Amino acid sequence: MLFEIGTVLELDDQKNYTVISHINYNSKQYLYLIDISDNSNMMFCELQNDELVTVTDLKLLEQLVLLANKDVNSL
Amino acid sequence: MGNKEIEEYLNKINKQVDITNELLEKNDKTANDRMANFNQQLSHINDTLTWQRDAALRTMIYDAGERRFKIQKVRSDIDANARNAVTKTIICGAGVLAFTTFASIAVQKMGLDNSIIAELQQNHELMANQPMSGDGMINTIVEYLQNYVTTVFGPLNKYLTLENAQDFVNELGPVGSIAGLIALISGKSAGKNFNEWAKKNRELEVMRETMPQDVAAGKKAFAEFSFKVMLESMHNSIGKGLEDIIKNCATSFKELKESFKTKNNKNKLNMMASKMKELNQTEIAEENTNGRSR
Repeated sequence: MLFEIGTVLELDDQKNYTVISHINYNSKQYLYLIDISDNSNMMFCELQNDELVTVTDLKLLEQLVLLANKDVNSL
Repeated sequence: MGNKEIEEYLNKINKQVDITNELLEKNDKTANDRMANFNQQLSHINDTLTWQRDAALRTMIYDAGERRFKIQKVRSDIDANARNAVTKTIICGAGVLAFTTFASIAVQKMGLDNSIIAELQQNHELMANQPMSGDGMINTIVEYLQNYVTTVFGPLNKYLTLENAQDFVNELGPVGSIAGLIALISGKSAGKNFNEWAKKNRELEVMRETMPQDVAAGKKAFAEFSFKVMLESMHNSIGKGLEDIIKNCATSFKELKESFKTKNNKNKLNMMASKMKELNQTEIAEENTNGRSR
């Protein structure tokens, strides 16, 4: 599934998030999401079928921040 | 550990450095013990900051361990109201990424540990925005980014030097454009900046079509421009003399590093002198023994 920047996802916490970046890294897919009505609620998640799992590895998070920034800048 | 506490810690260490230097000059025997203590304190600061970075990332990106979400709906066809909210969210999200990356490059160039960014971010309160449109939306974004610039770059400014500021430009690359865009809408001269930015962007677009071989140079010039706007914007947002800060680049970190280097050299010299003395004494003793045995 391709999640472009600006795609809106409704998750099972009943909140709407928008995709800021969709990253392929080490054969896995990650999404950088921000809650549309509360921009302080942001997260990096790994896409696993129709589920999203928040990233908890700090080194991976740092890497994903850099990759997401490159992705946003290349638009 | 807050910024004030770090300052106090550094002041304390700087005092210790002075005392250690004095003792070294007097060849005091306790100097080496004090040096070991000083190294221990540095190591403690490093450990604390690293821990703080982890805490900051947890606060910023996730705060309840691993969480799982099921995707209920995926929508790309959204109404005008939602589109405004999405646009604002994207700009805020891209802004956080750009500033985080920029700040990361900045601290590396200044020879500091990346953890200081997280330390600053931890003290930053992201605004919870409500969806809105038109001027209200722009104002909210401006406030959001000014808040970010003030909180993250305010304390970071004191580590900037003229030398490393110029060096950042070469490292900016693609970050320059987005950072510049954000900077121009968050500065006081937003209108003037925006016109100039749009003009430069058009020039770059024309260059892409007509002189592709010069695009790299154009991009670099654009990044330099963006960086300049960003610095100006930071200056405006923070409301204090950034130029003065850049010029007066004597920072406690820099001083600390310098005095540590000097002290280390003095220590090495002292150690060398003492080793030489030991060697000389051994040689004299051996010569005496050999002389006696001959």
